[in-house]
Amino acid sequence: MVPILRALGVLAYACLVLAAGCSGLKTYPDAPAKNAVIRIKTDSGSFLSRTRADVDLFKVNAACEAQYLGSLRLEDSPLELGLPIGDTILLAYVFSRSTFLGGRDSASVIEMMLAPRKGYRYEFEVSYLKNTYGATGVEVGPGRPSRREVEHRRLKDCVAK
Amino acid sequence: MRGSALSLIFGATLYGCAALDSPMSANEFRDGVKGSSLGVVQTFDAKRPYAQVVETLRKKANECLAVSVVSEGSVYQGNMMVRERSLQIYKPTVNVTKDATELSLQVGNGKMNPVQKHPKDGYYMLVADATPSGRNSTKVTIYRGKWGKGKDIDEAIRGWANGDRLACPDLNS
Repeated sequence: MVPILRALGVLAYACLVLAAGCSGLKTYPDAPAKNAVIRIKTDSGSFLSRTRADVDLFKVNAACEAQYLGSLRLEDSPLELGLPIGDTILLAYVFSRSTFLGGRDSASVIEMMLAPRKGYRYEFEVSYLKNTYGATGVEVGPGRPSRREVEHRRLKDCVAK
Repeated sequence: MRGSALSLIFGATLYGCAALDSPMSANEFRDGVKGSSLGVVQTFDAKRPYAQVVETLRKKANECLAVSVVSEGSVYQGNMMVRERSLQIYKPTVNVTKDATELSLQVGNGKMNPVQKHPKDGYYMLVADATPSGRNSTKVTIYRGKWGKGKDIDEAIRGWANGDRLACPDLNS
């Protein structure tokens, strides 16, 4: 079953991540045509806590409904992937931390939306280091004449057309 | 979870529990912080032009503070340990004019509180004001609670304003 999500649905996935440690989530399919790269800088946490970063990908329609496409664990850099052309794609970066003492799990979600274009390339920088994280992206034009930042936009702020 | 909970409690109690009111605007939040022993007001000068500081604040607020956090932990209820899940939805708002910029941050849990009057997008947890103070300097004042995630966000805003540390604060508990 392909889940259809709205508004807080992305967080429902983060909840799943917490509960299942991502093991039950679908892996984002490996497309032959790669138009995006994610460069990752992470540390594994400390003696008392463990950190990890994942990205959940969704296709968003005009009614702001998100269809889950799959997830990727962000650990090996660089990670090449293919984003579908012409659709609005939501990338939800999930930064999660588990503490061994007290058994706490927590996940923060940074979302960005973009509509990948033919001939363009998408470069993302993701980091999860000591007490800080971040996710940024740029769209690089054909022949690299232009670079445009990918907008940080949440599904909950999506306006139906 | 603990840090955000402290921020929520701070937002909710700024005006006193008896009144069952929390600050409904950034202005009310500033006034509340100034008059509270639980509040912190700090001012510093960033050695960068106002336009650059504002651009960085706008960009980083959108990247780092428009964040949703879900937490889960074990808590005791009586003598039983149960798993408790909580959600915080952060909502930054940046208002820019030629002479002043206001960055306000609200945090809510996506639910309505039927008892206490509170802002639609959640309790105010921090307000930062930036104003030009010279050709190459900008005065920044941050209003926040003494405890909780406000302190981490305060430090991040300092880094963004100074342009020397651009990372997002970890809002996980």
